[in-house]
Amino acid sequence: MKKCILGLLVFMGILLFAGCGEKEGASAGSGSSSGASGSSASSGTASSGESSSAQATTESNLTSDKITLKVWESSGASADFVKQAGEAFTAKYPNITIEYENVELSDSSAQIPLDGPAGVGPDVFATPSNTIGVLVAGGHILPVGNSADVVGQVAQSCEDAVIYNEKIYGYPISAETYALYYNKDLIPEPPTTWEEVEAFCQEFNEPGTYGMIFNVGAAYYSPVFTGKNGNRLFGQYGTDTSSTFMNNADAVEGMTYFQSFRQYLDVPATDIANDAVCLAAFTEGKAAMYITGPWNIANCRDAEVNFGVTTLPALPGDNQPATSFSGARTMQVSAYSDYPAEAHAFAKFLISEEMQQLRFDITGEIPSVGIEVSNEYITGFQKQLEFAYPMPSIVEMDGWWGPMDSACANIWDGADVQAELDAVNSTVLQ
Amino acid sequence: MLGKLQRDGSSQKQVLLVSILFMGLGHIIYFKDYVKGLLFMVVEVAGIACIPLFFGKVYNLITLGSPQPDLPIKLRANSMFMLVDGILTLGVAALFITMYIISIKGALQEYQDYCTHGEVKRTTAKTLISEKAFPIAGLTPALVLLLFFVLVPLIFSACVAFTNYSAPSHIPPNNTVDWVGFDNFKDMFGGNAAWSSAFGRVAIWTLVWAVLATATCYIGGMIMAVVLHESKIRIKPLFRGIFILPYAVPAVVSMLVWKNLLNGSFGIVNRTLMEIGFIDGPIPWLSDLWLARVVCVLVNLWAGFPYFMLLIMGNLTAISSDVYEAAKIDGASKFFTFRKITAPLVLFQTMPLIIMSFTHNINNFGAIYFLTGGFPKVSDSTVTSAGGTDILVTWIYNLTMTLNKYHYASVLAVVIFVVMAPFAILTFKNTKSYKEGEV
Repeated sequence: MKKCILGLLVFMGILLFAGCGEKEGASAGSGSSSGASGSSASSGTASSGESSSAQATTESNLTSDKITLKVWESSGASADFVKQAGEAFTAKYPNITIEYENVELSDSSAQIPLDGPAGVGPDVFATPSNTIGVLVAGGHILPVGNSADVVGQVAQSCEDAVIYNEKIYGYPISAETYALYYNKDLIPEPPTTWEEVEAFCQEFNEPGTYGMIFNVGAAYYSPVFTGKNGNRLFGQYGTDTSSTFMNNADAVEGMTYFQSFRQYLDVPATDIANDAVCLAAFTEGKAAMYITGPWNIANCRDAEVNFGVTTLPALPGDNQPATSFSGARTMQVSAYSDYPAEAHAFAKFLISEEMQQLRFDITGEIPSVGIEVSNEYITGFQKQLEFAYPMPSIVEMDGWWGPMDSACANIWDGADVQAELDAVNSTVLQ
Repeated sequence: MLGKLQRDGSSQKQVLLVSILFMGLGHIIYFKDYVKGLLFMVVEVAGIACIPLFFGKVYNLITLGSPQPDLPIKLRANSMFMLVDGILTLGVAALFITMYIISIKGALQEYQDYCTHGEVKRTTAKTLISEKAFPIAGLTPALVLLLFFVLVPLIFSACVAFTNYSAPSHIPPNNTVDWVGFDNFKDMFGGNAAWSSAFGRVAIWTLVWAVLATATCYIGGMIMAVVLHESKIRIKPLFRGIFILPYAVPAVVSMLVWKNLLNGSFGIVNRTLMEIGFIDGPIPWLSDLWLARVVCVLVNLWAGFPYFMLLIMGNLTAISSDVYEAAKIDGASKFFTFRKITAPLVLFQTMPLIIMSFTHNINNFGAIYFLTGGFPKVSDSTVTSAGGTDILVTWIYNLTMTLNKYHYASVLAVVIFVVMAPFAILTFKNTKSYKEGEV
């Protein structure tokens, strides 16, 4: 009996120790291997993608195999464009077919890190230019092999929007910014300076009716006032994280003017920190001018407003239109694509003049290349784009919107300009 | 082997020791209870096999990964995955330890049986199915799911309060997250002027809001119910139907409509008042801090009273008319009957629902977020993103969705939980209807 128990005890002991020994070896390895094992495969594809992207530039060496490229775009008019452009591309290269898949513009940058490594991702996908920084940091997109494919081909603002770390990422297929809408029935000649805006407001304003309206609680519109003397958010290239450049003398001067403009638009921030309210005021004729983007063209046209679009008024002391944020809808080539050369060729095809004309006809959005469009609203935006600067795409940008929204609202309601902008600066950069 | 055990209980230590040594060993060598013993042994072997994994995960949980700036982002350690994995692993370990204790207790129980009866009931496949084990086996999956889908997320979000998971420099996978102990709590409770003053302001307003919102809705509902019940209105169903309408419309929609109606400069309320010459200038319904708070309570009353009205109308019909008749004969006035009969009886029955409504209002995201959106902003909003009418839960939303300060948001969530959970349970247990078990 005793022997039996003893034997069992020894056996147990051995088992336990064996377990421990194994633990030592494996746990040391498991810490690093768990992180690496999942991604080693994907890193393989990424690096192979990168190497082949070098030769992806010239169209002569496109494959002659029968292949399919998957493209992510939003639904609606944007999807129609991709489908029609795909057919045109297939007509040019009969062995390449384009497959459209619906992933919304705003979702694609979050979707690619999951679908790309899993092998179900797209070859080309649409994303706003301000996501480029995050996508590059994650290694999800490939730079444009031959920068001449984009540089000089597209509008300056679009070109700026896709430059990141001195490389070009993606092909801008449409530009976006905001400009001055004016109701031609109320103000036949749009003002070119804020002084003229003030003068008009003085005559026009009545209780409940205002010469000028815009969303005063949105950081998105703050460059109109903070952009004096070429002052830009996060510095000239939007990548300087030593400061937001939003609490320097230029920005403070501009935002002080913004605060003083309250006398011509005497509405608490709460009441107009809302784009829907501003739009309603403009379409109802309660406001003669409105600062907003091309997405409201259709709304204003549907409301049968007789309106025009022009550049923003110049700030006091400036002689050129105020600046604005510009962005671009870009087509990126996925780092997980098996056919990067062909993907680049298709994305490049989308910014050819012919395709840009097609896109404008379908979507009515601002073309990224300098084609003549027969739409007076779009020409207004195109002019404003010359004075716009691209929204920074660095990671810190995410933390800027919220504090700056609050600061704009507080400044509008009378808070100390310098203190508010300092608070934004320290909150964003802490 | 069985013979070696003394029936006077003196071998208890021996059984205990062998059971501790290896799960199920006691069952097998002393009681020849092979089915049970082997099952336990399988668990132990599986447990031992998982030890390396276990220590790896727990090590990760403790360190939450170290910065690896040279690696490409997708290869870097993700602190949040480590946190979740670590908590899951601890959960599994806790289950394992529970099994161990069960096995030891089981062995001791069998020894006890042996001492009293001189033999043990061995587990066979038949007894396993027909007796105690079956309900346990049947309930285990549900219990395990409950553990992992309710408890683990809760613990995870509470753990975040003790880390520095926040933008811009501690967001995985770009950077790692570290444990910071009680630093976030210190910041919130006095360490950081802007944050602690915002916390005090928002916490007080949250409580005031919850009390007022609940009280107004309840009293409003009761008045409407009693008036509808007592009065001699002819078409009661019609009125009842009209009063229920605010409750029938989705609250989000009505809040957004109210937001537009009450817009100080462009809203139809002010425009109409000004048109008929009732007021000279616009009333700042939503842009004046105190008026905005009052408006929140009033609009919530509009949207919330029908619920209590319906509820109390149901209760009123349950009160026997004899009581009223007796009171009438005794010469009690209508108001006196209400005060002495209706109100106490209704209150008695609806107390648990009042408490539920109070806890609901503390977390009433929609009523604030869609009506005011936290506006008007106050001086510390730029740093903390908490507006003048924000309550804790809408502030949590701002912190996570716009500022990405998950650590502070998590502190707020922990505070809400710590304050709310015991309060709700205690008050609920103290209500008469809970104590008496039936109403």
